[in-house]
Amino acid sequence: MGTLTLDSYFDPQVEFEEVGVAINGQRTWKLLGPDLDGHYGSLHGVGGLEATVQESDGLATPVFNDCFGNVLGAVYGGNVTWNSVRVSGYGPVLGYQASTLTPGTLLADTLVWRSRGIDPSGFYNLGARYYDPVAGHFLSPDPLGHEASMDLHSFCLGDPINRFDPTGRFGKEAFNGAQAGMADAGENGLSSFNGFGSSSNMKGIYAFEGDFEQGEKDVLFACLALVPGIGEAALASDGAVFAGEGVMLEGGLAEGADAEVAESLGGDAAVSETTLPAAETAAPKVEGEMAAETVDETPIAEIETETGAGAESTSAAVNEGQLTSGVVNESRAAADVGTTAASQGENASLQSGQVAQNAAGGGSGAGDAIPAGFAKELEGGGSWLMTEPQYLKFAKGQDFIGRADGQFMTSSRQLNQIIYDVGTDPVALGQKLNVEGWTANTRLIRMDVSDPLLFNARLPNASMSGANPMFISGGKTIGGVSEIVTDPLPASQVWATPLGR
Amino acid sequence: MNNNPLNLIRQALDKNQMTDLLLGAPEYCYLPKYSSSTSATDLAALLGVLYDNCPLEERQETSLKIERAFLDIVKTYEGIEPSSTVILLEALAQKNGNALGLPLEILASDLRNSIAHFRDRLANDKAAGGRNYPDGLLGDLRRLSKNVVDLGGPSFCS
Repeated sequence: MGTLTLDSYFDPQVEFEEVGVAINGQRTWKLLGPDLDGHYGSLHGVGGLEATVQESDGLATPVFNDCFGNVLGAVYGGNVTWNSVRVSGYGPVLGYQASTLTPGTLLADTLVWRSRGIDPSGFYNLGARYYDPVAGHFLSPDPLGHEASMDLHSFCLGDPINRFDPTGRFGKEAFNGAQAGMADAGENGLSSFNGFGSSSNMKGIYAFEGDFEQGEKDVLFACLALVPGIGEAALASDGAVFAGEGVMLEGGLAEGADAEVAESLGGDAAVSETTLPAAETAAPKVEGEMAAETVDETPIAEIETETGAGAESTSAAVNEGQLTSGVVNESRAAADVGTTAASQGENASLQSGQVAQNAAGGGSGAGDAIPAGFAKELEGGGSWLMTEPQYLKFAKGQDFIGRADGQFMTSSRQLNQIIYDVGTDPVALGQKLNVEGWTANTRLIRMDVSDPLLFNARLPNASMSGANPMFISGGKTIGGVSEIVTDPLPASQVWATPLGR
Repeated sequence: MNNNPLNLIRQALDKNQMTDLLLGAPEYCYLPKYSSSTSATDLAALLGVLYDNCPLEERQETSLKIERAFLDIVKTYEGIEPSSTVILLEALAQKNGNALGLPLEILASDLRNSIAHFRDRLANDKAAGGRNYPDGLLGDLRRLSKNVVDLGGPSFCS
């Protein structure tokens, strides 16, 4: 009888976020998109699994999730295989047994309940604690004590339908706006456990959308190449491709230095469907929804920088399954309703009509209207850079981020392109973005907002405080970067990523 | 008005006008693009440039000048917010290994006393960083203090 060796690979910037497993050295990577609440890593992978990819042969296995993050089925060879294991909120229903990972088992088959693989011991490792799906409680007491759990061992306070504990640390403060937002959306209200306060450290997803090859199609690809140590990203003109040569997650996947995870997801039809977050209905996704013109998930980057002593931040990117044509912004709506801060915030001045108005070039606000092409680009996200001191001074712990007269930013796509072009060197980035004072020692934080058009986005004018002597009227820097300004942004809509470290 | 931050810092050090720089005097206003500063100057960006670029041989003298300026302003209402920024930056620099060597505990104690003295006024101040908090600037100072503590520094506002 041989030895069975199981290894797990974790995102170094998202606690307990497993991004790959290896069985006897054979690695399989998880293609992770936004979790149920629409943000990468905020639910530690629950609902975020798009597909699995075997490193050895590049076999991609897209999966179907339901609104709880349970994997209902997977696509093998173009056919959907529905999982025979039934699950409840507590785990596999009695009489059913989730598959454990063995050399003959595909990873996707083992991730039945909440996108989590069951341990050979029969328990689930939920990060801080092991969970017994049969008894429906944790094996060890709640590390947060009685304040978090009356009996210390219960799971989700006895309500696994409306709540979830992805890490085994279910503090009262763990709930955030996504919970209410999901309830507002008509969801059953799967609660969101969004990190661990200031020490949370989440990882982003970056994707390009655009005509990259022959102008034939929108090709979406995860920009692994934009991150130091990742290497070149591969592109294909016929569909979504994700590829990474080199260390996939810097600092966290030492063994992955030679990993080449490249696989066309089968062109238009075989792209794994993104698990939609808050506004997704309770109905499981069906095969028909995978048509090419179905859904596009807005690229979302989510990361909370870790500023604790000794914390070593790294940069990384994770692929996001995307599709090719027919952009339908369902995810935008999902993100909107999933964020209570946006609806509660006095500065969130967003109405869908206004978005349309801005996108059509008739934006409101002090500045000029945004050209339709740029507005379209901004639907993929807005981004800006700030230094670490600025982040600590103006962003960390704030409910709203940005200047009252307008927060400067560019599109995520343009910033991705800039980083692709010049790397993460602060001096080069400063030159490109017309920011003085960034030197080789400057630590930069990338700020991303999933949809800046929701926040009174408009072109900047020369009277704005960020319009320095290098400002060019019309919203472009001398480096050719288009810019907008927005109203202050709810912190729940902004994600920070340490750049280049 | 935006100037090169390195030039501004050099000028403030050479002319012994660090107090003016901390208080955001017009000639030392610096507001870079992408800044989220809610006031006319971005002291965090300025001091960040200083910490990133201060030559080793000048660090002690620079530290003394900043400390003197801090002590000049910390007892004034207008000086509270920039004083908190000084402490934040030094705490961050300690974490990153490029600190100037400011006596953080002493400075934090002075700032704590000043905040206590102006507590009511701060709580009613809804300008700049106080706009997002029911207790005005006091709320923002509490946030900054927490950030300092997270960096391993001393608390100056609770």
